[in-house]
Amino acid sequence: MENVQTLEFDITGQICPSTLLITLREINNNIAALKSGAVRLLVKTDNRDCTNTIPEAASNMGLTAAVQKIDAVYTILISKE
Amino acid sequence: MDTIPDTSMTGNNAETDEITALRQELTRLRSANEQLTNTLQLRTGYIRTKVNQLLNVMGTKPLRDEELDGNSIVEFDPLGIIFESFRHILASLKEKNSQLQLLHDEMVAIFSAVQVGIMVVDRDFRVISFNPTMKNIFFTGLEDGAIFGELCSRIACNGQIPDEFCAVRKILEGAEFASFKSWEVRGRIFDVEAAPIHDSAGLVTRIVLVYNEITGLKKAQNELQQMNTELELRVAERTAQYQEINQELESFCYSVSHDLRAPLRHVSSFTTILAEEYSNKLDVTGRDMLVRICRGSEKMGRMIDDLLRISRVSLTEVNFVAVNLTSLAESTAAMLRDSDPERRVTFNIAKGLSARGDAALLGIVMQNLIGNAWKYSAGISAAVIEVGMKKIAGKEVFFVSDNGVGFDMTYRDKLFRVFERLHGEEFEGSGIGLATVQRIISRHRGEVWAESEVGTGATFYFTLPENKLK
Repeated sequence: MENVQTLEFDITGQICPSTLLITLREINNNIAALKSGAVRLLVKTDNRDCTNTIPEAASNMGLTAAVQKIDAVYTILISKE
Repeated sequence: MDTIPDTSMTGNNAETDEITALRQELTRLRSANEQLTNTLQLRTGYIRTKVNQLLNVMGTKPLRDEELDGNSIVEFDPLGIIFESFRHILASLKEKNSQLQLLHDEMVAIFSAVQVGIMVVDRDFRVISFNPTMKNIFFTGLEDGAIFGELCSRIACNGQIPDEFCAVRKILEGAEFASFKSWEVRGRIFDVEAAPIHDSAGLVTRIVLVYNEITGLKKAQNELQQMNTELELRVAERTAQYQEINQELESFCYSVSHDLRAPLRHVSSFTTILAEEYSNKLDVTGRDMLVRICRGSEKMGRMIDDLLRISRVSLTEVNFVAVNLTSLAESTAAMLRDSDPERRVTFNIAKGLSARGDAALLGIVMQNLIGNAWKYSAGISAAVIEVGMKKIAGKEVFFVSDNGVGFDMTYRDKLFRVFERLHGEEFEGSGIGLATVQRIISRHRGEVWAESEVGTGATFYFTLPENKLK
């Protein structure tokens, strides 16, 4: 999709529950754009625990989250379902 | 820290009073501050507790004291973040509920409209739900209340299906799909199929049973089968009649041919006597006529012999044995060479050619095919006759080929007809050889065909039952 804006935010160094809370805050701030598909969020984290909690919370909000691991960093791409 | 100076020693009463008042005010303010601090701590403690409870619901760890102090927790507002997230979660759940409701409505509509009986039972074989078709098939006259909770074995199967065929039992034993084909009950026939519904832990909680009535289909199949049987019987009867008629015709042909020989012998012998003893009394024209009569009767004699031979082929019983076709071909080649030692013909006969068939009849096939190859390559200075086998579509196909005059493929249909000839008087023959070959191959349940091009030769192919023992 060419017109989708990707908002990246780096929370490496943060651990639970801050990682989840910060991500939830960003989702809340962009919920309408996320739901419409205009925006997607790319979260960078090195906290393994949040690779479960963030996708689950995103899924409960009707969004989808794809997790990838690149070296020691996880990327979680949150977008429209 | 107390910053009000002690003026009690100065003797100034007014100042002393003011200082005392200030001290009292300070004490009050300190007390109030302490109370407010306690209250704030209680409030932030409450917020922290509630945030931690909500974080626990979301499956993550509680806040750490050093991470967010009393002021930061208010400023960062985790409670607000979680509240907002829950609002979105609720909105999403509401949307999903609407979709689920739509799916449910669709399923109910299909469940009601479908023309197969559907019933859902629990692990205890008790009816949980059923569709109108199911009710029409099995539960006519019963109130819905009397059906729910009943044992399916009693209310549907009527106890007529043994345990080993019970589809529900098969599903409970671990099958992902079970069926019972052509189940007959109360004069009707059904194909029954069952599939499990699992809970989130993977356990079978319900079993869906589908009853597809095939009574009409089975009836039609039975009628069709009966018609087929009758048709086969009629075909067999008709075939037997044709075989009988054919046999009679063959016998008739044999008798006629045989009976024609006697009068022909008379014609032939009296013509010979006439030629030997009375030719001097005939003029040139008369003697020429006599010669023509002799030739005609000889030709007729050969034709009668050929007819008798082909009749014998049809009447003789085929005795299937392993036949060495290479040996039959080599014998024929030797016989032809002996008949005309002057001719230079190269025979390429493959080794190990064998099939199952009647040795005598297959000998006639080889004599005719190789004889034809010999005959129609007579004018070729370097005649080559090849006998071999090739696999076509996995089947053994034997062939006899030559590089002789060949024939026009336009007339290939005439090749195997009795007395039909594609060449004139330059090649002798009665036109019965290939008809005999076809009859023999046909009696071996084989096929024979030919390919050719005028001037380049001809190839005759034939198939026979394979010799499995070779």
